[in-house]
Amino acid sequence: MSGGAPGPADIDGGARRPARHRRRARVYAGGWARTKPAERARRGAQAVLVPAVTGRLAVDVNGAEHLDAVRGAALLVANHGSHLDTAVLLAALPAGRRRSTGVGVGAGYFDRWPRAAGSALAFGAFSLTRSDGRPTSTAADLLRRGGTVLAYPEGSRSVDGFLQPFTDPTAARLAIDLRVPVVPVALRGTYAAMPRGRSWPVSGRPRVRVRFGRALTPATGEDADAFSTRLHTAVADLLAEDEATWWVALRRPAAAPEPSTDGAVWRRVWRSTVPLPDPRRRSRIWRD
Amino acid sequence: MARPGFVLEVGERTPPLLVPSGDRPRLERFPHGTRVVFPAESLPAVPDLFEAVAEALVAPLDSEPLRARLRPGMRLTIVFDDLCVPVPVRQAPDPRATILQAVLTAVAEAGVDDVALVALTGLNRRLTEAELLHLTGERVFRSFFADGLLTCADAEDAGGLTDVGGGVALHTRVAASDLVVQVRLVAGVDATRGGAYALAAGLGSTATVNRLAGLAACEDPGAAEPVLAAVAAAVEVFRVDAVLDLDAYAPPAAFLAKREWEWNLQERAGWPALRRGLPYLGAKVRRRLADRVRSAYGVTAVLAGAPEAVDPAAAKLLHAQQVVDVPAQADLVVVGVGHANPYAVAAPTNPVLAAWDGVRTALTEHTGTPVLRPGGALVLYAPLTADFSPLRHPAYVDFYAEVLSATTDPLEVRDRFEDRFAADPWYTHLYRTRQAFHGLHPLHRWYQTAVARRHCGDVVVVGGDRQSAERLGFRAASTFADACEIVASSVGRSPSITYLHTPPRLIANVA
Repeated sequence: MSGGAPGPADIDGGARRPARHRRRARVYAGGWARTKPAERARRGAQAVLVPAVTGRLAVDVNGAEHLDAVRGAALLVANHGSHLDTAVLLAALPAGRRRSTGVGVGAGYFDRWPRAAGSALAFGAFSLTRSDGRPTSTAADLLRRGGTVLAYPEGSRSVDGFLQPFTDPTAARLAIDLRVPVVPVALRGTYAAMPRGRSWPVSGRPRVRVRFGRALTPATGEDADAFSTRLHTAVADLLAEDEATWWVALRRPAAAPEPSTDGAVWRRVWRSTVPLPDPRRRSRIWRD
Repeated sequence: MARPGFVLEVGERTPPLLVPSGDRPRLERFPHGTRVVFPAESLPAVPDLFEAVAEALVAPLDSEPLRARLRPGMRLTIVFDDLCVPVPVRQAPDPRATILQAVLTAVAEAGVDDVALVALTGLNRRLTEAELLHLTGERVFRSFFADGLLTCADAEDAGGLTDVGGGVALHTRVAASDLVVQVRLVAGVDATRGGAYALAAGLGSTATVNRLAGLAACEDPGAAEPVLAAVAAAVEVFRVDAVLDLDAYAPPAAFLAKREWEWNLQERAGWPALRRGLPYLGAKVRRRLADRVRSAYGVTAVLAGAPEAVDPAAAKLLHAQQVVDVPAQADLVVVGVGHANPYAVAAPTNPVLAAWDGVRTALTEHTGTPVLRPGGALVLYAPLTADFSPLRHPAYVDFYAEVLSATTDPLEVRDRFEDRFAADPWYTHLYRTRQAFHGLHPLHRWYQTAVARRHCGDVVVVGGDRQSAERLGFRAASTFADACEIVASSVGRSPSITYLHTPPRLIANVA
């Protein structure tokens, strides 16, 4: 046995491993978190979590009609800037869809048992892929049952708050294999509200925005990488739309330009941490 | 499969039928032999409205695709119906928002930068920001409103109107545009007047709109033709029409549009509580509850292209949805006037608007022959409470108090009061800067009411305020039996009775 951190267990059996690794394997697959008692407990936890999120943050939700137009199973793919993303996105979902939503995260997220168990219980989190890149069966099972899977194809949180390339095509692959629509989601303001290094949102009531886009379906013959690229473009367009306006983004559909990376990481972080304005507050002009 | 409308003859086993009456609907037992005209069920809605619009834009009627008519550097204006269509207000997302997104997506692909949107408000009130946001959707609103590119028409803005010939003045931006895309919701028989009418009435000057909706045009629809011709010659239009279905109420109020014997257990059990509880709530609370009732209209078809081709096609689809065959005219027609009124969104339905709505439903929504025979009696159910919104209907207050107490004759109203109401600076100020209807608005509604009313004899309002009924030239009765007694001298003691079970809307096709 190596002295390094053990990798995830093979859910199909494989070689017999020590007990503590087998316990991590159960969390990794999320099996216990999908049982009826666990789902009831999750509903109770989310009944507290959702008001806590909307009370602590000012959450603006746009494009909900695109999500409402999708019936049954769906994949949600979102940019990932903060640990707040999952809580904010779950709070933005309609209650009915939230109940059947699971969150697919990277395998490395489950290194620590308390965090892993807490995430699995509160958010329905499970590992989307194993360490060898193959998808676990949890996402497919959930989608086949008509549920929703939230995935972050960037793989990990953004360092500077900007959208990173989609390195994990698992969501695209699932959509192709199971013929499930994918709803792109753009999250803005979560990086500013709780950036890397913080475990609690910044003071005040920071504003975050959730913007759903029209569902995309894989074209005939389209492979996972091509579809993943299309999803990346869709999320980038939504971020550009949220930053400017829909009309501006429509006529200039390129992703939001990123400033130069020459020793200027702090400038990108600076730009990502600018608080979002309150759309309802407008300078008043006294009109005759 | 959607069931068509039909006529039921009331018999022993017919349950009491729902009759709208302001914000307090009631169940009424009609005499045996009463013909009840039920509207059709909704036809299937298009599964994806955005795709349906995109397809219509690519394959329009009698026109090149929209994309071929667009070019960079052109001036484009998109106009759309205001909040009067449909009623009740549709729950979010409004179909206009999706249609505008689809149109603007095509416009963006063509590289057109000079784009503006104008709501066809005409002499109706200006829309609030929240209402514009509701109609156009967050994407379009945020893209255009802050830059002043999403506005309402202003019939009194002398600097913003241009003479297009024939004595017709039109919105300057629209008159100067290379192309106008008109987005229209086809929801009722009014739409069969054609989109050109909506364009002229929505964007014309006060004088122009008065030629379309004044007394002369009400008595002779042909009088409006020169105005429509001038507008059609001045503006190049690409039309996008969306035909609506009949889902007039969204849950939990959906049972109000259902056939009474199909109410489920919960609805049957809830009705007594509703009926007994509503009177105790007070008028303001009832109105707030009624204002929250939303519709769930879907779009059954999208048509795009040249107005001359789209108009008849849309009318045909509308008829397919709403026409109900009625065997014969009746001596007495019953209509309930509900709370939802096109000109009373977020405002109480005053007696003038209630009268207009009831008379219009009974006497104008047909394919050529009214359900009521000439000289027959009309029975309306409406509270006719003299409750006016000084914010939205300031001219109605004075019209009711001053004009109707002097005369109800439309000719005399026009000769004595029209100029004053048209030019009153206070009404004009409120119309231009607040959310008030224009000073001429009540007069136009009265002309339509009075001209249509000439077809019938007595008009009796069941449950209506007596003073209001008298002011309108109607009679009031406490019950339907009393109303029948009042009109017995003109229609006899055993008249043939027809009850139009609306909403949802229907167009009667009388044999």
